[in-house]
Amino acid sequence: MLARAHAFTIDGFHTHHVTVEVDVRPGLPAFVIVGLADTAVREARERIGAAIRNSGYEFPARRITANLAPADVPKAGPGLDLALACAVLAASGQLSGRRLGEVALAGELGLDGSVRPARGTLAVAEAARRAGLRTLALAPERFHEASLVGGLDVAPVRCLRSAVRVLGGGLPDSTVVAPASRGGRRRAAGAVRLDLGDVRGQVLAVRALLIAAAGGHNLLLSGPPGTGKTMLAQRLPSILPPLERTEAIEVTRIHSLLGGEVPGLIEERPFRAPHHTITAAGLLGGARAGSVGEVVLAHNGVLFLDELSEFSRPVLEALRQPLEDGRIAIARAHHSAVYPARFMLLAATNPCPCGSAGEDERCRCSEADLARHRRRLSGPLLDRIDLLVNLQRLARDRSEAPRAMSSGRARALVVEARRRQAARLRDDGIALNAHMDARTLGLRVQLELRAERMLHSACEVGLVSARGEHRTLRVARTIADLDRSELVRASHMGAALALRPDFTQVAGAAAVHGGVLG
Amino acid sequence: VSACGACLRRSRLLVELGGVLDCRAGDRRRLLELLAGDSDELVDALGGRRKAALRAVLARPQQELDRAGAPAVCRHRQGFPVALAGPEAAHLLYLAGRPGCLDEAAAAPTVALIGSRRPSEYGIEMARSLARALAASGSCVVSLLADGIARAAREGASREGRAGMLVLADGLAASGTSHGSEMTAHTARGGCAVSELPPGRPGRRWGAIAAERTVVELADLVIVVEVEHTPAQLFVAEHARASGRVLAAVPGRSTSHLAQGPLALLREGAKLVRGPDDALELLDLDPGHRGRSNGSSPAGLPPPLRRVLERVAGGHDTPEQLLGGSDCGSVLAALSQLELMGRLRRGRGGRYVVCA
Repeated sequence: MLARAHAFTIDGFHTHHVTVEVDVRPGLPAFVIVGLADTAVREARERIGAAIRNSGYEFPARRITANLAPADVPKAGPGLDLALACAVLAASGQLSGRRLGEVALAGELGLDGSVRPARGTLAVAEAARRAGLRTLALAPERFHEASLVGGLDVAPVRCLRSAVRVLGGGLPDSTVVAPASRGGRRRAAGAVRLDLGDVRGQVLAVRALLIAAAGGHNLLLSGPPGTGKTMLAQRLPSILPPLERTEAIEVTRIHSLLGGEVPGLIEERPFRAPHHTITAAGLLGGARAGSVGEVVLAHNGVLFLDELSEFSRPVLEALRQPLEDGRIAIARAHHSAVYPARFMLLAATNPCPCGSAGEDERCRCSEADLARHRRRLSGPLLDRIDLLVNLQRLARDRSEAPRAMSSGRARALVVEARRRQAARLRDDGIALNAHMDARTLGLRVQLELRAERMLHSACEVGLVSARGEHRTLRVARTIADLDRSELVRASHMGAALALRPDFTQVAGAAAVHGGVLG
Repeated sequence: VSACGACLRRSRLLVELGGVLDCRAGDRRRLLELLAGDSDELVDALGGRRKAALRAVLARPQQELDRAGAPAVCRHRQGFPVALAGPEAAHLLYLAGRPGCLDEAAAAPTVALIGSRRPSEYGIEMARSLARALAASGSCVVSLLADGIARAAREGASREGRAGMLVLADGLAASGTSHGSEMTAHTARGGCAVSELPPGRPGRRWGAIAAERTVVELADLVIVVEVEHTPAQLFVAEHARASGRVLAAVPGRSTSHLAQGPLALLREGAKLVRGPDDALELLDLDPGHRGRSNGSSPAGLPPPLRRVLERVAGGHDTPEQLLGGSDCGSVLAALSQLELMGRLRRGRGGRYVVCA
């Protein structure tokens, strides 16, 4: 007898609909699973057999063949257990298969027949709705996550018997697991929100942080130790606007794919700050099938690289593709996947190995040291930095320095500037100035004549390169948005030029042996 | 090659004696005295047990020595700089650059800018602006192929399209090396590069001292920008004074260790150079055509820009210090405008420097 059930398998960021076909016929007892199943799926035979028996049903002592269609798509993980078990019961006549075609089944089975959550519930729920299925039966722990997707009945089932009951037209189990925070994860329990108002002095850096947050620009903070680079960076999330609904779904989906519990829609922008010893696999993902890196976890949020010059060169170079394309394509011998990775890069570094460059006689680094330090940072990655701020030690007593504006006020300015950008860029399919390409820049950025002249002369005297010209235009546009101006004026352009990244100050050259004079 | 056999053989002899000369480099005065001797005196003084082998070098036929590959000129041939006529001067120079560039350089008033390899932003800016003004007024700027003040001098002169003369402590470098690329770039800009050692020879401790001596001997005017007050650092200045060159120094902040050398020289009678005008006056040149170099005067600027420029000149050299209650955007815009006008330059650590 043949039975069909519906399930889903996760492949990278995407979900594939899997039709589970089970055929039970006379023959020597055997349970064969075909259809590019991975080890976890093949091991399901043992789990399913025990779960069926321990739930009070009979595991057919016949030849059982399970086919996972389409046969050319790899199936991974234990999330197909529930669908396989239900299909076996239906094929052996212990379950009415009437509703089997309308219900998506997701969950791992325990040996006692309990249903455990599987990773990627949100993605599965979205795929189930797209596939036209009415109901999704899954472990109660994932009820709230699946409920984020509208237009789908979510049926929590605690065990195999409950799943059989639901498939027979009965009621699902109640959701005994309450969400940690109804309506989304706002903040970790006990965590204190850092406020921009804690910062004293560093007016330029605060201004740059505001511009970066408003336009989604990449920002590099450079300065001696103790000038507040990390303090400023940690306060960036407090001035970023909450995620839009579509962004929130994407972020929640990524966290769901990792297998962690997602109590609700994630509303806060991710802020990832990996340690500088991180490997390329840790940053990008792909260490094993389905694993994602920090760039993916920072999607729609901020990736903060503290002590940028301490990161290995290959790791920094690997950031080029996600910074350029807003996605990361991972190809390995047995799997390949594409994940979204559109984030704002925030980096902090010392200006030289001893950290005192720019403070003339305090710096102990030679020209060669400076050149070596700059070489570690130079290259295409720095070419993608939009704003550079050099922080200096505060000259006077820190307690006398003025406080920065509060995070609430800064956030309001950022939200307003982003709203203006979104309205202007609506037809271009982007929402932030930082994502404007050359064509969009030409169409959407209107320059005052003086501003245009300033930019041209900056190009002529070599202050900015061709790529730098576009970068300056984007930043100037954001400054104008913060200033509520539709026209980019000379003052906006001047400020953008003053914040331009300029990495040519330290030139590298080998030292001459022996002599003391230059 | 326009060099006699004796000078080519001497050049080879210096290569062979490189290690021994390095050992004598601790006493710079003694080293220059040794280099003032002829080839036989060098072999007698430094040859030790290798005297026979070294005399064999001196007996090589000239055709074999001519294969060095680079043009060279010696003190016995026409075209050798007259300034190097002193007994301690180099006997032969290998050349790189377009034909006639050495003659052109020697014909112009020549100025050497010397100073620390790790100068301050102030030192870099002074060297750059002096070199720029001197080059603009037709002088030839001569400098070592080294970092710091020498690099700033090269950059300043190159901005006016007169790359000047470059003295290498090692042999004329092959392209592909860092020195080679720098030398090639210099000659491509119309400059001239000279070295006492055959091409491709690595730098030696004594070679650097010899190159410093060549730099000051090529010059009519030697300007010391920033050096520490140590015998080693001031030796070249002393050599310039002993060779009869006009010695000048740029004063610095009296609390800076890099200003102690120039201040000591000034106390001992060196000429004072406060800016390009003083340097040109020492060379008796017309300061009329100095291009954009004379840009430090804030007169003629709109008041907001003038205020910012004056504050930067007064030591408020970071945007943070310049803000002081002003609107952030307007200060940043003023800084950018001054930078575009060539009045300011962004230096290390984001500090602004007034362009002299």
